[in-house]
Amino acid sequence: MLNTIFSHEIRQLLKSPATLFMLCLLAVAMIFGIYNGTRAVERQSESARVAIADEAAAKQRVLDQLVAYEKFTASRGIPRQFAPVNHAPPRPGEPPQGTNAGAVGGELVREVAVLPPTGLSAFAVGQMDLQRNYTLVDMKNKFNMSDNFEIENPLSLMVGTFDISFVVIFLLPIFIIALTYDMLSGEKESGTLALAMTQPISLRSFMGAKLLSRIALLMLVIVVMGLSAMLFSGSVLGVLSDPGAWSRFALFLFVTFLYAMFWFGLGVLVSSLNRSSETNVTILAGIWLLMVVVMPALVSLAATTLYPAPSRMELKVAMRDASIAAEKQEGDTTKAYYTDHVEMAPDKENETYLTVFLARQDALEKAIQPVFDRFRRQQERQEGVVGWFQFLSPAIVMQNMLNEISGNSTDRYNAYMDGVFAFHKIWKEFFTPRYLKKEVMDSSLYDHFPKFHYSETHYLVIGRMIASFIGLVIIVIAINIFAFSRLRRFGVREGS
Amino acid sequence: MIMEIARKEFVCLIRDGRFKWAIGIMFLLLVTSFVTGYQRYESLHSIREASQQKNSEQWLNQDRKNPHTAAHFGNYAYKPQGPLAFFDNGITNYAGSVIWLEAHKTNFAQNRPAQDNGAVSRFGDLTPAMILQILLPLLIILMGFSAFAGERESGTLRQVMSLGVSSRALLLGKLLGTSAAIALIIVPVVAITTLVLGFGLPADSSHLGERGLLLLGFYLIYTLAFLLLTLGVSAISRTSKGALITLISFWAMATFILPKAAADISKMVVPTPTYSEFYHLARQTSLKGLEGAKGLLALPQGRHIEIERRNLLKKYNVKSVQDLPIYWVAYSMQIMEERDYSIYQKFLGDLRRIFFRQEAMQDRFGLVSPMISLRSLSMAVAGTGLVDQERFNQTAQDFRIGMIRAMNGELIENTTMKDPLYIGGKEVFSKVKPYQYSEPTLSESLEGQRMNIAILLAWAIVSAVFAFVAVNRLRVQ
Repeated sequence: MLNTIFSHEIRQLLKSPATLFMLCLLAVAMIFGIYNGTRAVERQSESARVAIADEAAAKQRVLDQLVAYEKFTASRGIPRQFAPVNHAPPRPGEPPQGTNAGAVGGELVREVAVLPPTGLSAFAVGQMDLQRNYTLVDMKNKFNMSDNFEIENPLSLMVGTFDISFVVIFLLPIFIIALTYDMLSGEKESGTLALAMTQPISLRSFMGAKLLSRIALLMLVIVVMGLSAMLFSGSVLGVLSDPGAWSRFALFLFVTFLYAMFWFGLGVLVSSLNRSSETNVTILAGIWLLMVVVMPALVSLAATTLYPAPSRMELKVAMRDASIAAEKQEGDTTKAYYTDHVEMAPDKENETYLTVFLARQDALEKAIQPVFDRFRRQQERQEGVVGWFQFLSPAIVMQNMLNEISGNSTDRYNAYMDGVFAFHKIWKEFFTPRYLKKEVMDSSLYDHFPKFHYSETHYLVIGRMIASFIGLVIIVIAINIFAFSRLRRFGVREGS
Repeated sequence: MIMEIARKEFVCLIRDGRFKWAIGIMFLLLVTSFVTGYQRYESLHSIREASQQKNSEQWLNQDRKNPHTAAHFGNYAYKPQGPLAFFDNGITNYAGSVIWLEAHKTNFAQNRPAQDNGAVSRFGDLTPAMILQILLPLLIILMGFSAFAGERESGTLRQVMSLGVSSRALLLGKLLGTSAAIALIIVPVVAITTLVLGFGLPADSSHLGERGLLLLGFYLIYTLAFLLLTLGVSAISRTSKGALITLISFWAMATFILPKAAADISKMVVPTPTYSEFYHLARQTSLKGLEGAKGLLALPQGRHIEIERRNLLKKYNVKSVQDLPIYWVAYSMQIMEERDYSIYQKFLGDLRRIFFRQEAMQDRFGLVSPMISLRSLSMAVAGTGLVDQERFNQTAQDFRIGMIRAMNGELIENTTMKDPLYIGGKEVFSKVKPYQYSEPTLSESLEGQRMNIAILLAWAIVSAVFAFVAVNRLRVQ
């Protein structure tokens, strides 16, 4: 009996032009979505590639001068010397800047610390479009590099990207609403419900079979299109052989299924109210609006009102105050002047000025750290608020999880920045002692500059989304049980 | 007759429990959005003013030092907001709010507030503008979808038509009745806005009244277009269920799907360069010369400076820069600054044109979604759109080159190669006047908006014609 209803429903749905149109629309939206997401990831990677090439060229220039100098000294049998900091090109026979670790690590050579995209980045652009995925690391204070501004039209940023996560969070519920709003009311209005109920089947089994047919159809489209999306973005970005990408993809399919089940359950629940089709649409549209527009806006409002991020404007003011204070401590204004323009300084004192400069960077860093920490704390508190309030709307839960699965969440970015800050320290520790000891840098050392590697901690990724995941599972099970238990009291006859 | 129909429609609507709820919720959301919009504006405004003020103090009170080093210390320009930002904050959250203006480097406006707000803010802010652009149309649809189709289904349409009511009267009556119900929301909104603008805000904006009236006008046209469209669709649909599905699909398309699709398509057609590409190209150009430029700008950097050096030596009739009566190092730095200023002006101008072309492309989608046209108009009038951001960027860059000219000029005039030491204090730094943003006049704000105004009006007119035709051909069964 269930099989009969199931296959009957499938045939009916497939014969309805409206349903077919909707399913096609969903497929097209997913194609468009993956294309946009893939472009976003490509753009980001391209940006990092250009930066890496630029920095490699800069390093090569320094190295070339150094190698030439080494050959020159070796051929004459004279000892190599440590070059004072100087912005002018070296004269032949004089030591180049490449010998000076302070000049090299401080301004000539920078490490491009890249946050690599995950195998599923293209599925949810998330916060990726706001910031670069690479950081230029040198010996300047670390807050210099924490902005990571990427160029984009603010209008486009405001609207957001039409990616797979948009299709899933915003559009999928609309399609589900369209598939479920008249599951019972439609039959009742056309008078077929009472007829069907003369058969030896309970209303709940009848509804279950109808629901299953719709879930099957929709998930078929999602899985087929999702797989095509994965193959497309995977082959463009070259991550198809990465097992991590596929486990992320499996996770994506699973949470999407859960999210869909929430909306299907809601469809059953509204059907169980035994109202007209129009009323059902009105209620479902209202809930959709509440879940994907109003609630997120209110939650965001609550988070930013409870824990307002200190304004970045104030951060700038604090940075300048710290800079002025550091300057005052140096006392000697002439000295301060030369920290910015060492080429104007009398030769002998050159090193001292770089030392002063580096010392000032350290002082600045110490002064700004508390302000920066305040930022972080507020951000974490805001996310704490969102963490609790997310359960008011499965859309927020879903956004959380999709951003995490695709690797474009704020948390992952912050973890990356922490890695960069730690690396910044290693970088400084590599160059500073060599500079202070006036060690003449050797060209063979250039291959051994510290390298940045972002290492993903998988249990952290899971940890960041486990609460959202469990919450969604509970919500989905609860709403479906509640909806089906309500069906028991459903009046089948007209007027009931 | 019209009035009677209107009264009937109005009474039916406000007696319906569902609409009481809907109107109540709308009202609550609006009040919330006004309160928070006001708070956000006020705190941002005061922080901005304080920061800019503090910046000037820091600039003036920095240690006595060489003027060029002072230029390295530099200034920050903070993006101000017009008072109407509380109503529509536009792109504010996604555009840089601070620019560091320093020697040698041309920086972008950084610190997008969205970076600090967490991912949930990407769903969009709750602002009065957002509520009126997205939620109000849905309310209109829910109020009006059964206006004709519902009466036809219940059989009352036949009775009404049998009384000899003209279709025009029927449409106008229904329009008036529904409008009256909508007015229950609109009128308080207008009242609150006027009140806030009139008394509450630390406003120094010009043309505030005109801007407010324009906003009111645009939103009314938008509302009217949706009303007429809803009534028209209700008249041509066989069932009210069909009318509702059609209208809600259109609404979802117009307010969610098309705006996003438009943004992505605009980026596809006119790609935005990345940060690294931008600087790579600008630096290369600075080194190698600007192709197609006239004069020294087309030459490589080294030759440019060399020619300037020779000209200078010739002018002062000396053999070496050591003998110049001016400070050659500062002079050559200024040559570089002017060169880079011209080059970056070109590249920043190109970028600006890309942004505006993308915006124009998105605006074209207004033909299929009136919300896109209204959104652009609303931002432009509220002073929170792209025009305002770009104006801020440009005025900040102009301020920067002025500051550098003044500081390097001090060095060039007052020192020589033999005696390069020059320490200045407040008396020198005060030659740089504090950064001031002048907001665009109303006509400047509306300059790029002609197409949007035309499209929005066209929506209202076409909807009206459609509604009249639909009601004229109304069938009672």
